[in-house]
Amino acid sequence: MQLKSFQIRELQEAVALERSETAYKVLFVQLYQSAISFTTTITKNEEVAEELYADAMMKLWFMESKLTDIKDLKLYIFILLKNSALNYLKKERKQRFVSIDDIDRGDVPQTRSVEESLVFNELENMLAQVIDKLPSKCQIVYKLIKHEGFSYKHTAEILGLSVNTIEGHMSNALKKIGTFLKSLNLKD
Amino acid sequence: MSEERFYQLISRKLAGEASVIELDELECYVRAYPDKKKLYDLLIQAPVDNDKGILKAEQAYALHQLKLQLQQPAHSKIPVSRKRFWNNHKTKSYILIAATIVMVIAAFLTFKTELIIPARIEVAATKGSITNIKLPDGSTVWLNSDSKITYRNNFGYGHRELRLTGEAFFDVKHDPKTPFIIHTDKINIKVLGTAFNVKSYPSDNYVETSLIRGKIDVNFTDRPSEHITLRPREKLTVNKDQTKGTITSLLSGDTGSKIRLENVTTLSKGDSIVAETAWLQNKIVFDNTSFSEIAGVLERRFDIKVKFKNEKYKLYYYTGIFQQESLREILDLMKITKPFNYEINKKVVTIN
Repeated sequence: MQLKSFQIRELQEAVALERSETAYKVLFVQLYQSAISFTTTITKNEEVAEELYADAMMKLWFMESKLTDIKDLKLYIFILLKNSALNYLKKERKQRFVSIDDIDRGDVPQTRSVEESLVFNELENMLAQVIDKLPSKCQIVYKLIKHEGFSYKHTAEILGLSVNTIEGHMSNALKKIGTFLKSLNLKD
Repeated sequence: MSEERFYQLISRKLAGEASVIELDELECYVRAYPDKKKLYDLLIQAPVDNDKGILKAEQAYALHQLKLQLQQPAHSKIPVSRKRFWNNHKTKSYILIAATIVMVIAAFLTFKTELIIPARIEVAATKGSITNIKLPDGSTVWLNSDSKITYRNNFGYGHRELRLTGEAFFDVKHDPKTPFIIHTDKINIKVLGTAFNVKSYPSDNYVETSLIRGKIDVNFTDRPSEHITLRPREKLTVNKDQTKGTITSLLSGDTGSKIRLENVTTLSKGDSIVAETAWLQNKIVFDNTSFSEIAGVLERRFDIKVKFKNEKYKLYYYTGIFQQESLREILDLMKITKPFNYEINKKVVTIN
């Protein structure tokens, strides 16, 4: 289940104005997978991603009524996560400056364990593996658009890249996935 | 249509950026080339939902909720007391002077203490209370009643080792370079960044550790080479009188073993609350627990002493969850399921 933007808005208001823990829990749980997957692609470390997500959500809770000032909460959370993930990389690599262009360095994350892979059916599983092997930036752009339903503009805003670059990465990701699928010799 | 254009159009369609003309162009193309149909469908189809992810999210939320609850009271108190205090300029300058003096002394001591053994710091929770401590490395510890931790004052600088007596819940800051090590009577627990519960009361005849998330490694004080790795939602119980060679029997599922590895207990099916960490929310949970063990829990929680006039009561087993109930209310409820009499005389409860 993907939350629709009007649903997010409703939950956001329930948290801000009624301090509803139930609404807060729904937001936390429903955005969890997307947020962790996104942040892990940058940090290459799932545990760190979990911590950063918890910190971001904690921040939202303590914004209290100011939370309603945020126009697009999901976009806001992803921007927050991108910034804290890059900050983490900066500390980790002891660099003064780290941008989204630097994230392809370092280890390839093991995002899917063997047991988890068994849950997917075979094609789904292979597709997931191809996506995992895409260059990090391609992968992030692909997931933000395909899985999260962000527009070019919002994806560009989250990553601090231009709209043209986003389209380039997305077409590139699709092409790589397409080439792989074709190699399987698909039949109906 | 070129291949590039085909992928560009799919990209636009997925992002909701394609114009009516572009959508039309794509549709015509797929209709004209049926061999592209399957590929197109696969690229465009919605991602599948994964129920496993939701379960994981629920578990993560259970931990998050704990942290939130423990932070809440502190936050709501600030506006009343601390603000007024800080707005007073005189107090502010006194505090600044005091802070400067403390810093100078601290700097002086740091240079001196490099030559001598670092001092030990001890934090304790008395009977009937729970204490929350933030360690210098950013990790958080919740100490249950009648428990304490000790660590050297250079904790977080090159090492993260501490000793625990009693029960505590740890939320460890991730730092792969400096492992976080907890020493107890019988076992040592090594962590890289995780959240888990350790129970090691001198009065109990076992040590227990339950993992909520992350990964921990447990070894034995008397034979450091043997170790067990715990995965999330697993619990390890070690009897204090365990002897060499029992690790193998644990893996074969022998229930009579003195070392047991099992899943943590959830309060009800599908519930994200874990019995082992319920004390953090001030809950007391008994899951087919003997009266003799319950007595220990009540003694720590209410700062009392429980005496059994007849040994047979020690082997009565109870299951239940208590939150706000007083000592009398708990005993009265227990009496209903399996009868006994009790007397409370100041801090001594006699069961007869």
